[in-house]
Amino acid sequence: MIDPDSHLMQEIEFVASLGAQFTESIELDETLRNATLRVMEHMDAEAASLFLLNAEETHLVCRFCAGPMDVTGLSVPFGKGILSRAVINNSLEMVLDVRGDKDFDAMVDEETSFVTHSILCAPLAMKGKPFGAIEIINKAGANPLFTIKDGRLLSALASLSAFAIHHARMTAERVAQESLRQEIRLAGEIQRSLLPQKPEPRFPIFGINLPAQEISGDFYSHVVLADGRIAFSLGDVSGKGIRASVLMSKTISLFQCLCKTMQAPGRLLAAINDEVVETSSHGMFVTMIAGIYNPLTEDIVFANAGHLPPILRKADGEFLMFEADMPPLGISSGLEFPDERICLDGGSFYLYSDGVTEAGGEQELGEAGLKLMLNEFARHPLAQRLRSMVERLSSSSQPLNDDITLLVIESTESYPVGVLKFASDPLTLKEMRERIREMSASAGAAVELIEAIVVALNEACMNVIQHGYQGSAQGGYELRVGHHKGRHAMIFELLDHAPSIDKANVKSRSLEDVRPGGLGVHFIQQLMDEMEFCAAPEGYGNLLYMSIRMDKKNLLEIS
Amino acid sequence: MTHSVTAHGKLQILSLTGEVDMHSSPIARKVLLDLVKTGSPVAVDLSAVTYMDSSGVATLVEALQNAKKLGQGFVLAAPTGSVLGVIKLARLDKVFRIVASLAECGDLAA
Repeated sequence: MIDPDSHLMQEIEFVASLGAQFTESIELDETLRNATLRVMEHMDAEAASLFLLNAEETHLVCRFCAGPMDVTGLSVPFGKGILSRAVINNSLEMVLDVRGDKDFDAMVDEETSFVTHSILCAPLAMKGKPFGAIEIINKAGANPLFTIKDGRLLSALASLSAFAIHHARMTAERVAQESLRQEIRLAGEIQRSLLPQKPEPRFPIFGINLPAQEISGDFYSHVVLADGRIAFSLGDVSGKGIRASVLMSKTISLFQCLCKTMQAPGRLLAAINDEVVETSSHGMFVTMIAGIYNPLTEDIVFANAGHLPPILRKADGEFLMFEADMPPLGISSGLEFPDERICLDGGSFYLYSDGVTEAGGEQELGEAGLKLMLNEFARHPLAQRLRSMVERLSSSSQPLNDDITLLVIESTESYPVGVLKFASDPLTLKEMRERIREMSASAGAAVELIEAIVVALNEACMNVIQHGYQGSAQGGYELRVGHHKGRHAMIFELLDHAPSIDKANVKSRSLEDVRPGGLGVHFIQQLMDEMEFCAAPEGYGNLLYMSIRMDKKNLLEIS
Repeated sequence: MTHSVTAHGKLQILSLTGEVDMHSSPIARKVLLDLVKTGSPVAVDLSAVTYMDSSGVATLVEALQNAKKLGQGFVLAAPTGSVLGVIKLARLDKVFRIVASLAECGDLAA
């Protein structure tokens, strides 16, 4: 048993009350000051101070002090004096008479009227690494010599203080980091807003950008020009991080602005190059392809500034690549970039960043891997195709090393197979199904595919009769059937004259809930590759666009 | 679409032939729901149905639910490949009792 009145018990109580002080207040400076003052008074000493190493670790700076002299802010060179010794050795220093200590630095005494006799100094350290010290000067009273007990007490205070200071620093760092992260997130959002919005269904260009981090050094863009042609670009800024993202934002903005008036891609790249050379710094550069696509003729004119060669996958599956002859943008001014001309002719034109070919870590995808992947997904609709590819790429290399950017240009026009027109009467559905069977067969569809097409189209037409016309036989519906050579897909456009429907109301329902009705949209979505409501042509109410790959299997389990 | 009803012991059998679609399914629905209402177990012979759309599937679901309420058996017999395909597409193949031939629903006749 410890006698409650013993010195040891008083000591424990004193340390406990010091500890409580640290948990009660969140104001660090005030807590440290009060605790040190209490220790100073407890020891009956003349002065006390707390010093912290500066960021460069060249000086110890007084954070606060108590006593006759105010030395707050005083900076003493680290390495000199008893204070430094305590920090360097990470040990308690007790000097009963400073005159006998070779390390004693009398500078403060000389500049003030204060006279130092004895010093008790404890280091502030976290995980064995000292970063400051607390010192108590000149013990007074009846017994003016520091004792082992004083040393223990100061060490206890130093441990509490070190923990509190470290904790406060970590918190401040976290706050600063969080605020930086927030800034970067915002920058990423602004950057993404510079990329094109999701295009309308059947738009012949689709791009995708998956940044490795919040912000990207890659970009792509497409802009519909006044004459219906579409300007497009894809680029990659050297380096990573904020600097790359700023240059990316600048380059894409220049493209989006200039492409409306400068319609020769080579001249456009030359203008952007001169601008980037003039203002870019730190040896940064941009590899970029810019071009113009004419949807009516399927012609593409493009120019390449040091970017990876675009790939044309022709309708027959053959690949053509177009190497760049010119250097990237931002290196030297006054360059001319030659235009190249190609015709899609049912093929697909791909632009990509090095994040695509270098994806996969050690098992790098490479050009050959990319071509294999283009073959594998060739018959998927544009958006679905790029999403599937990016999903494959990003799952093979986690975390991503580099931004992944892909853009494809492909005609969405199909070769007409036939047009059917019917009154909005359920009686017409039987004939519709017969005619669709014939047309699909003539386009080369297999029996199983034909049945799937019939099921899906029947549901779509039912919806027009039942919901579009509300059962009235006064209206009519029209089915345009086409064949997309490049994707080897059948295309169906269902047109009606019913009031425009709200797309949001057309959705598949949960099948968990067993009840009659509401299955039609589910059937169409399950069987078709695409089902999209598009802007209806003049004179029509709605246009539902559907497509299905002709090599699709296991659609309906017909044995 | 044509239809006929026969009885086999307690079991009422509705045989459908041809295409059950938006035009014909209201007829099938009326006959089938009336049959279920009698309180007898019901089998729908689908062996001669060449096509069925979602309105036909909805009719079968409605009849099944009514039969369950009355605590009566309800079975789909001998669906053709295309009809079974549509039932599976609606994920209803586990909801219905489906048998390969009418002979397999003898339990409902007794």
